[in-house]
Amino acid sequence: MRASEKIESDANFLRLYSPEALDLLVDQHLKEELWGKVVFIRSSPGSGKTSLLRVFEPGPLNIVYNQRSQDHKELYSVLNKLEVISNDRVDTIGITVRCNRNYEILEDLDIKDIQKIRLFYSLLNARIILATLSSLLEFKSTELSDQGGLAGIYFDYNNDHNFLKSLETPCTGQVLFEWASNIEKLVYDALDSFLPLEDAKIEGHDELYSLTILRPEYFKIDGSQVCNRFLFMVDDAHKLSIQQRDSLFSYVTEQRGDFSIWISERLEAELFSENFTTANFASYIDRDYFEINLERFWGDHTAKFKKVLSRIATKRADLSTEDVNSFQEYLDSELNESTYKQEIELSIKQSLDKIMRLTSYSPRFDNWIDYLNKQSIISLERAIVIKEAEILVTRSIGKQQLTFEFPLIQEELTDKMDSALENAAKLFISKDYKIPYYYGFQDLINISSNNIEQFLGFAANLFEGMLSNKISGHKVLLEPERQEFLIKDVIQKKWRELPTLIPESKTVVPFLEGLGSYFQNITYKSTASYAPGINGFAFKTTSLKLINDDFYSEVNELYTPLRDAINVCLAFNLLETKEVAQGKKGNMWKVYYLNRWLCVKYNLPLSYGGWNKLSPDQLLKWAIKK
Amino acid sequence: MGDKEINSKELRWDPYLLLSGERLKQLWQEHFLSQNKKALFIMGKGFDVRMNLGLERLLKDAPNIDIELLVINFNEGTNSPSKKYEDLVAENEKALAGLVQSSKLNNVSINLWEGSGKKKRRIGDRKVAELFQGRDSIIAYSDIIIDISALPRGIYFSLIGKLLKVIDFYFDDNIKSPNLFVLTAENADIDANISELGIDEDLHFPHGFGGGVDLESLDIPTVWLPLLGENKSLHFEKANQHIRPDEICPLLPFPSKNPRRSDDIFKDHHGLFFDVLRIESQNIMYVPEQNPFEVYRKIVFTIRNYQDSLSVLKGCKAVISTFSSKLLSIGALLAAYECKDEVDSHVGILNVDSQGYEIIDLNRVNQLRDKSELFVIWLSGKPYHR
Repeated sequence: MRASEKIESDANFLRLYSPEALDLLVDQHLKEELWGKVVFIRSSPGSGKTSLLRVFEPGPLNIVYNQRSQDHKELYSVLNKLEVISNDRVDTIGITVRCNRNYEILEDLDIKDIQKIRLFYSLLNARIILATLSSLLEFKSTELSDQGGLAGIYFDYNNDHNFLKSLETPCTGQVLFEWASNIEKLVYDALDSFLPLEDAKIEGHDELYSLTILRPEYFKIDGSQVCNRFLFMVDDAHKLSIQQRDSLFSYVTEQRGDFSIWISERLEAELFSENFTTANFASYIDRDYFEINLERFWGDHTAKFKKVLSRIATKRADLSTEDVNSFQEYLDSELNESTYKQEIELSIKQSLDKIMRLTSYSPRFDNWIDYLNKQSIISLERAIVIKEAEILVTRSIGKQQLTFEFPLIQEELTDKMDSALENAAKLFISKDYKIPYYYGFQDLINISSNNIEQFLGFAANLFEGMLSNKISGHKVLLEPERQEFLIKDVIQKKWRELPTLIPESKTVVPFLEGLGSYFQNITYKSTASYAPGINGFAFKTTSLKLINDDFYSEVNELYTPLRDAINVCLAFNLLETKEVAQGKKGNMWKVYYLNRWLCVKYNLPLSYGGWNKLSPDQLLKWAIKK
Repeated sequence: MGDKEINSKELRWDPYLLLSGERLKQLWQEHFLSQNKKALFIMGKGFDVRMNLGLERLLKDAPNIDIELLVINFNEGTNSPSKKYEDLVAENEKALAGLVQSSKLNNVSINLWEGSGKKKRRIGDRKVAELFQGRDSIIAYSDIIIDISALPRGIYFSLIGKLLKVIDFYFDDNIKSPNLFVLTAENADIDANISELGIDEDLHFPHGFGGGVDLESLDIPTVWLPLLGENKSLHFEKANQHIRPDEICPLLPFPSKNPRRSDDIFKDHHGLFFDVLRIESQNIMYVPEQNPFEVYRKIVFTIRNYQDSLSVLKGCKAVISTFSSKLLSIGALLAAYECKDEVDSHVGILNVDSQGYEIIDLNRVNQLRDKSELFVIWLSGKPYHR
């Protein structure tokens, strides 16, 4: 029952999976940085790391191999490039070991630190062995619980180094399984028992030898070697304790074995520190290990990310039983201006009136006004141009410098009309006259903040809207107004759930509210100084010392709420960071941008552009606001 | 094994003792009439208005009781949202000091967390279990009463489990084993006025109730039995993502004081149950709102049934989650405790804890305090001696 369910589950998974996500591995492979190496795969939750690893598990690999000339041609082609599958066989089998909180609980045992690490290695070794046996059986479509299957595996290992104490090798898979299970159970009992286990003899291990001794050539099933390469995939490594991660990291990098190990973990950036493993081992990168950051990859390959999301959405829609088998094409990306004719007309009139009022004292802008009045059509395009002019006039009048009162020529207006100003104008009009702003597939991608799970959250609600239309007999196409409504509906729900989902919500929520309101005020200033708007901040460098330097420890304490708020925002993807060059050559700023869904909440633009330097004091005020 | 055979296999708490109202009063009056009794009353120190209710009633009904108090101060960390209720905690503490002499009052502090930032982990469950090690830790007492009204779920599960284990393991002569009571002040309206903030992102099984569910060597199906309550959809989803069950058997409270209660909970979860998780409607079970022993029976029988049916696949793992009242959660605890020691049984408890609480309407909560109903669950001792 379960094997077939897993197969069905793997088949569904592959049906919905988009192979573009593997391109980053192809890049790595071309640089010879993939096999026989240690690779860290990092991203925020929902960016697709676990799905990426799942492709390399035996179940999906079997399906791809068996259907390589039909349903999974494309995926086969990529896996072929990666030397995972050849025309003759599956060459590489992925072995997944998921880290759970059990490992961390080892730190709570009343034993010496060195013993804790030995138990950690014991447990991890045992689980790697069990996962290897499980993967081999899965590859052969047998269950781990099927003793016949395990007995059919032959582990032909010499044990010269005596790693496997209390186990005689060579042996069958069954014997190896029982040996590893026993270790796992003993460690588990030590963690979970109410009674003290004074007499328990748990075999502690000095190293992670499983990576060295579990080689494909040592395993035979029906007398044949199963594959050429094992790929060890440690998922959720962020759930290990600091000491355990350091230990694991040291071991795999210093060992320089020819095993292939990918360690996937959540990107847990914190204010003032990189992911601590990177910080501790910064000198080892690109020599002893390689790092793949999924968000960075998608951020650098936006077209590819768009393609991935488009395919994921289409594939999921394809499974619909309501005959709505597409997604992107049912998101109307064109505004029907006739629906908003009154609003557009009002915008044009009010903008022109304002310009007339502002310029009534001087002939400087007469040529501009003539240009704007040349046409009389009522269109959004014209409304935007007039709004841009309004902004430029406001800016011009605001300047203190004395100028001669010569009329400005038309080109002095049109030359200043760039895309940033156009976007600002469009944003202002949308807000003031309630014309939809967030709609269309491209905006949906932007709102996703390079996160697949976030995209799916919004897409699901939009798809529900399409289904509702279909079922109620209306056209399936979602109009911009409806799209924006559904998107904001998801956002309201996310905001409502925030206090339940995140720690320190009493600090984080007012902090975000303060930040959002501040960005709104700046963005919607009549001069649109930061066109199209701002949605990020960086710390003023001089003030960083106050909240980070140990010397100022008493002052540091005061900023604890701010540090906590920012750390929670980073951990829960409410803030994203980007390195931005500004000012003197070589000057890089770490800018904290609102997640794009928060930008929608505060009616801010979706671009990563405008940002402001803020002092810790200003930010702290928001964090401690009641 | 057929249904009859499964259901007739002995249950530890059958018959059981669940007392409230006048019967509870009678219990305290008669039980503590005898002079040679010494009671240990374990309670939490918190902001909940019900914190002292159980002790107040006990002292009123048994004024001559020889009692020692063990008050657990659980430290939620400096940034806990509950910190803002320190004045309510102080009020409760002051009221407590007025109930017993200070010489009878022992305070013990338990840190709920170890570490900081994203690396902090829960340790309160293990720490509270460490309070009682071996027979000597409880030999001096004839009766142990655990008042869970102001104790977090993550604490009292391991506390009760540990005490049961100490009694079961170290007291093989029934006559001398202490009576063990669990006391709780039930009030669904007060519960509805306290919301949880910052549910844990990473879930774990409380100490002693892992059940071997996480063992990699155990490649068998997982059955999930969540006890449902109001406003717990996020908790439910989080637990579901962690457990990834093969089968789900939700338990809804019925009969209940509000006869529509289970319908309302059902409505809240309808989309999730049937559109997302595709739960079979025949899997849904109903348990009386105020009887944890019925919860216990139902869960144990369900687990045994599944283990029997899936014996060709070498059985199954079972995970119980409590998104319901504390009273019903005891039923889940008893089921897991009983199944723990059965051969080839792998039963764990997975709750979704939160990092703090918020009182929605404090005035209302204060008004509702005296409408709380006290329940006592007698778990070990005299009635169970063979």
